[in-house]
Amino acid sequence: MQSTNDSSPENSWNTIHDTMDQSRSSMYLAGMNTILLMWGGLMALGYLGQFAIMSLASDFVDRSPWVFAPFWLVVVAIGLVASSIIGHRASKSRSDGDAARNAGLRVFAFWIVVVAAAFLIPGAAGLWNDDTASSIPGVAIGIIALGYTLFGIMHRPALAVVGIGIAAAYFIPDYLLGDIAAAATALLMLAVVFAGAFWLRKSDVA
Amino acid sequence: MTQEPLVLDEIIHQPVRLRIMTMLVSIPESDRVSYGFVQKSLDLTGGNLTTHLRKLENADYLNVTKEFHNQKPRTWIQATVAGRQAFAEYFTNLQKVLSWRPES
Repeated sequence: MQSTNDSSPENSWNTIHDTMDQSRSSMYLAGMNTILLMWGGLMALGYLGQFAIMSLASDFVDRSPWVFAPFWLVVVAIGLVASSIIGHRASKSRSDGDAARNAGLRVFAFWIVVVAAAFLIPGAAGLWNDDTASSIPGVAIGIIALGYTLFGIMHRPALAVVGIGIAAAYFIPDYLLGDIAAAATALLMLAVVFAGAFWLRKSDVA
Repeated sequence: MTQEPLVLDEIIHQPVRLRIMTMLVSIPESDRVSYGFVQKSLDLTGGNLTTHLRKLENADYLNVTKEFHNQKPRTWIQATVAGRQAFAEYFTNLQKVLSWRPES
């Protein structure tokens, strides 16, 4: 943003363009801070649940390795519903009218497509079988992280960093920690998402 | 033939008011934004924002309305038709100023 004390024509021109970009982006980020925190809690609960199932019902997991796909489908569905409610309420408190509503619908459509891709692409890649089902969470997390990164590049760099952090929170424990990877991912995911929400709060995103 | 000198609207040209007006005209005419959203987006203090809003409201460039939603007060800000026209004129004049070159 340009200095607010400089009223040269060049600065005024830049101010107009910067403000337009900023206010448009802000419409797409309604409630993002709260939504991020909610997803952090939900993902952490999801991974702790996955860790508990793997520890307490390991025989069942060995027989049905794809069981975590429907488990995560339920978790993500809850998150999507909660996100749309939070986003709608935040958007109504910022602006009333077509601009906010259209921005909210576009954001919702963007995330529906990302989540659908996270479930459908592993299917298209032939991973939905007993031998390769254990790779599905990795592919799905990669796609979700890509969604955050793309959304962040378009609207706020902090979200792009959150996307990279989500990928790291999954892949590093998965590669290094074996049986306790899911629990470690839960904690790291919480840390990444809370740090991202703090960063966004320090900027103009409420 | 001598041309009329270009004059930029002083009410809009002030940097904070320019940001407020830009924000308001970048959404559809029927839309309003909340006071809190403008304050947070533009990183202004309440007193500063109120002072500039009053100047813009006195010039009939925007409307400020207070409503109660779920028993909580909420202040909405909306650009008027006159405000949008003034901004469009300011923008056109600014383009002319920026493209102006002295005759050699």
